[in-house]
Amino acid sequence: MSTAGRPTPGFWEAASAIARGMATVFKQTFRPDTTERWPAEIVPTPERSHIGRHRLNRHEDGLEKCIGCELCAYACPADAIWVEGADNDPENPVSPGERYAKDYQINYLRCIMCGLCVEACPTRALTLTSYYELSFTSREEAIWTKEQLLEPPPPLGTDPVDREGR
Amino acid sequence: MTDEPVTLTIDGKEITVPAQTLIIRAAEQLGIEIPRFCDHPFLEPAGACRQCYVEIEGQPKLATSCTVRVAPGMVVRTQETSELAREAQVANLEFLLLNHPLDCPVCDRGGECPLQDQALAFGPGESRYREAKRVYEKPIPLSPLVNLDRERCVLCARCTRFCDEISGDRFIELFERGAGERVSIAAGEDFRSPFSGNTIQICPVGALTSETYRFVARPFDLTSADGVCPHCSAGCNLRVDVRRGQVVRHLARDNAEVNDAWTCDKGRFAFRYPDDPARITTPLLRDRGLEPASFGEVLGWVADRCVGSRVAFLTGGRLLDEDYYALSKLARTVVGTNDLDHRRHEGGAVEVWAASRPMSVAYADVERAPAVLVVGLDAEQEVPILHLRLRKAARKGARITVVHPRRTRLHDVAAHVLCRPGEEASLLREAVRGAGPLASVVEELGAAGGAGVVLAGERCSSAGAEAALALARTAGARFGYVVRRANDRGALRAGVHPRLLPGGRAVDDPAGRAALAPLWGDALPSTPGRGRRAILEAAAAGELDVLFLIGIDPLTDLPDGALARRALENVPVKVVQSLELGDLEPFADAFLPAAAPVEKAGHVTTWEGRRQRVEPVRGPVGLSRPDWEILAGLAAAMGGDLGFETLDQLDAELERVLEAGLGTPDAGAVEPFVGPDPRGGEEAPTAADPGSLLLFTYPLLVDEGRLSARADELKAALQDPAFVEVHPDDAARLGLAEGAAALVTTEAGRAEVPVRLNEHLAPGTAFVPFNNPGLVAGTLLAGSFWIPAGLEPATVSRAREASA
Amino acid sequence: MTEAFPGGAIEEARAIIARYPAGRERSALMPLLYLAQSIEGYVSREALRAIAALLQITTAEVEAVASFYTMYRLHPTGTHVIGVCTNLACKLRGAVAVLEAAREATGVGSSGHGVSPDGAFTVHEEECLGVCDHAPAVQINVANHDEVTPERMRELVERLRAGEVPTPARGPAFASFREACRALAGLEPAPPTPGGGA
Repeated sequence: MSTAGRPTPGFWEAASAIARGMATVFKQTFRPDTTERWPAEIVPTPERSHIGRHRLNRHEDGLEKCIGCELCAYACPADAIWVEGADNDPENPVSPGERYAKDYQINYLRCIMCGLCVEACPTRALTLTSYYELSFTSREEAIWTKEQLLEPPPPLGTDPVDREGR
Repeated sequence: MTDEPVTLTIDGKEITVPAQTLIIRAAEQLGIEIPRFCDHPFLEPAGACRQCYVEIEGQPKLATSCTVRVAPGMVVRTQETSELAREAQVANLEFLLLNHPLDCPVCDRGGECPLQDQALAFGPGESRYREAKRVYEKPIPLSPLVNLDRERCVLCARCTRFCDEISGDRFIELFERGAGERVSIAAGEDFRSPFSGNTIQICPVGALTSETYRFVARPFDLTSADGVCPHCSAGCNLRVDVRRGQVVRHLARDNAEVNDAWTCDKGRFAFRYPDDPARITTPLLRDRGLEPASFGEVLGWVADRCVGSRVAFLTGGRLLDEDYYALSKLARTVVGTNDLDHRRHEGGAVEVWAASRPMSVAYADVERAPAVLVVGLDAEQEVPILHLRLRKAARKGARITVVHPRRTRLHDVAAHVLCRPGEEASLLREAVRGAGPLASVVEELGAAGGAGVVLAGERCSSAGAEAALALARTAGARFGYVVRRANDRGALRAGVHPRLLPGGRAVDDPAGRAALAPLWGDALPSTPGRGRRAILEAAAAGELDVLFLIGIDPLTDLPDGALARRALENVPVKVVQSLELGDLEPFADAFLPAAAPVEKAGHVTTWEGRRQRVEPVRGPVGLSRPDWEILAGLAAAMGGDLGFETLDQLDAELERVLEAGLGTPDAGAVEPFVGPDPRGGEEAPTAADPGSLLLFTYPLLVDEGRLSARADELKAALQDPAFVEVHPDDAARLGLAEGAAALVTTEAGRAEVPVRLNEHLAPGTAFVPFNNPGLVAGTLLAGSFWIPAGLEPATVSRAREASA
Repeated sequence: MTEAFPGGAIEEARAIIARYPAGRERSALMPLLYLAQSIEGYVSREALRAIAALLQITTAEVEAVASFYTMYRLHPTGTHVIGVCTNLACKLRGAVAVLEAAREATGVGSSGHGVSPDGAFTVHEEECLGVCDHAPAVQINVANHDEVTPERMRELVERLRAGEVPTPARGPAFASFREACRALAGLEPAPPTPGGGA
């Protein structure tokens, strides 16, 4: 029995799958592109996105939420975080409780923005902001100090030279 | 009760263990981990935490596996096969955690906490307790070293049991009962025990924490290495922890043959010396006003001055075996002198014995001994881990006798015979003749049938130590010579001694020199060299050209303060090889930076003679190098060759020399080879003048020694300013009162220090600590650690001076 | 030491220690605590330290024992010490009302270590006094009184105030807490001192 001239069983199924796949390609090809013309044009990020640099938060009374526990440093897969704990002066505490972070640094040359540090933080002291304008001209500049991280990020598009007192 | 091995079944697996083994240990041998908090292998069973429940077939209730000993045919089911045991453990963990604050993020134990680990491994995961937890004030400082957080405590009583069973310093106890029960200290008291830090390490939660490690690091920050404590000859195995290049913690490593699981507070808390700002890590040359120079320049400069000159070497007791061997070989084969010494006390013939015979007494022998005689040693202050072993022996029923001028902390477990320094020899000889206060001790030692132990501290006169050795032989007991500094014994073994080659052969013994010839050549100097005191005297008399000071500060470390100063003033070239210059800065002509103990590999020899391997935790800082490398470099600069370029080559040679017994003399050949005892003969000078006392001194555990640099918390906890201790009767006779200042005058110097009365001091003597703040006792001494001294109230002397 | 064991008391303390074999001196700890309590009415910090010094043990060891046992009082007491059991059996039989009656009649507040304003009474809650079959139980100067009702409690307080020594359910009675402690230390009653008493 000859099968010449007749399509192989399943031919049409395969052809339609390819056609559907190529349709997606064509659709995307002719869509208007979404390249943003940063920094000439600043597009705000979605409201709930947390894709940018970290921020160290404070309690309402001004005390730092960070207790220097180093859990963020432990969670960090890139070893980007350095924390040094110290004893709070009960008269003049930096954070509630016994312990505070004497030093806190994030190395943005290492950080991969995975957010595991935020998940690890037991006091919600460390969160990600949507400030993504991270560009550096030196190694030192890429290591953010505790003072810098405690500051809220400036509005997007601000002149980098003016950013956070640097 | 039989001692037959017992066979039992745990989780269906059969195992045979020695009788009296606890179930929890038998399970460990099978690799079954039963959770526990109160159980500790070096403490007595307590059954306090109730975590280790197991089911034993035939018993109606669950049993705590840490308190029940095995029995033949016992069938045990742990949490792995018994649902009942598992449920009980889960419930117990939930119960232990009821009042636990769960403040792991701020707790120093977080990440290395048995409670945290076992709660995750065996716990319920979730607590049903929603009510308010018990709240205490926290943390409470128990001492400048130890903080107590009672909220975290699970009342396992490990700390209080340690203080009761091991150290005997029962400063902390469980107070109150029921829900109010808590670990506490008596109001107004400090946890003033030199072993307090061990309670921190064995605390299975974060209730006891270290002030020096408070909020310093997390386990994952640390780089660790296996070290050996550099502070005394006990040889405690340590774990050295470094964070970002800085040493931040010492922990005791378990080693049942040496330190069990313990170390003293000095070993634990005096760890900052390698990072002391005073440390110098580049070579310096005086020619340029003590400016940095390269090793090549400095070694060349030193070598030029050594060739054909009169050279002598003084060193301390804290280098490694390899360093001492390199020094011994350099002096003999390249410089060609026997003028080298490491000793503070000259021990006479016993040194030959110690240099040639390793491990005559080990810790285990001390622990097993039914009778122990300790002569001339304040074990708690000098070799603290030996002190703990002696206490352990006492708990097992040993009769301990201490012959010492001052009562020691063994007083609750040992009989003391207070004896004037230098009088040990006559006392011991009398005992051998069956007379005097020690006669019964000789009988006890004899009755022990070879298991008795005699320990002679290095502070005995040479005659005293020899008499102790003779007594040990008479009674058939083992004899140990207890040196103080970390590697004094290694220095002796390596022949850093004017009369001894490595292994204990005398330099003037042709057979000894011949034995070493294959490695050292056949041109070794054959006349005995000068000892420490003679070297200093020669230097002071202008008879030396070059003096090497390797890891030693003769101004404070030796009992010759004034002589050492004259010596330094009269030697043209002083070469200092150390971590820092310190007091030697005005004198040093060349400085060679040595690596710190935590930065070099090698071996340390304990007082027993046990050689223990040390691993570096970090590389040498700056340009500093291990001492042996510097010495090998110097040999090369002088045109010689020590014959090794790597540590492995050096170790192989050293082992060949020590273990093959090259140069080891016959067992019986312990003949006195030192002339008159440099410390004034076998009998101490009797004070002819009624206003005079016999002043003696030794270093207390925590003093101003250089390796205690920056150990401020330790000093705050355990150190006192200098004082002079006098017997109340002598004090009454001399008009001295507790706390009032006394003027101490000796032939070498004078000092004003406050008086302490001590009724447990040999009458007619006075004690000053060797190097406590306010007095460097070496300035009062003249070559020996005891000296006749006049004592009078400082007010009297001031009045006399005012009227004069 | 002299504050805790004044006058001849130090001799009595030494005599107590001498009751025990050499090397077992620490066994004298509990009688010494009673002796201290018979002098000051409670075990003061000085007493803890003095006993530690006498027995050559640490103050912590002494305090551990003194704080474990409820019969040692670590705070000043009145002349008479009334302990009301409020454990389960007694509580079910009305111990709380008895306790209230005791506090009211003596004038002791409800705070922890209260002493009545006239210095005559201390009232505290006890755990079990061991006579659940005669609940509610009350202990007055170490002597047990059975089945005490609030009325009987008030009557007992009045009689104590009048200088009487109420007869307990069993065993000897003591005129004051200090006398009771002296007996518990194993000592003869102290000879009456002129001007002393209470």
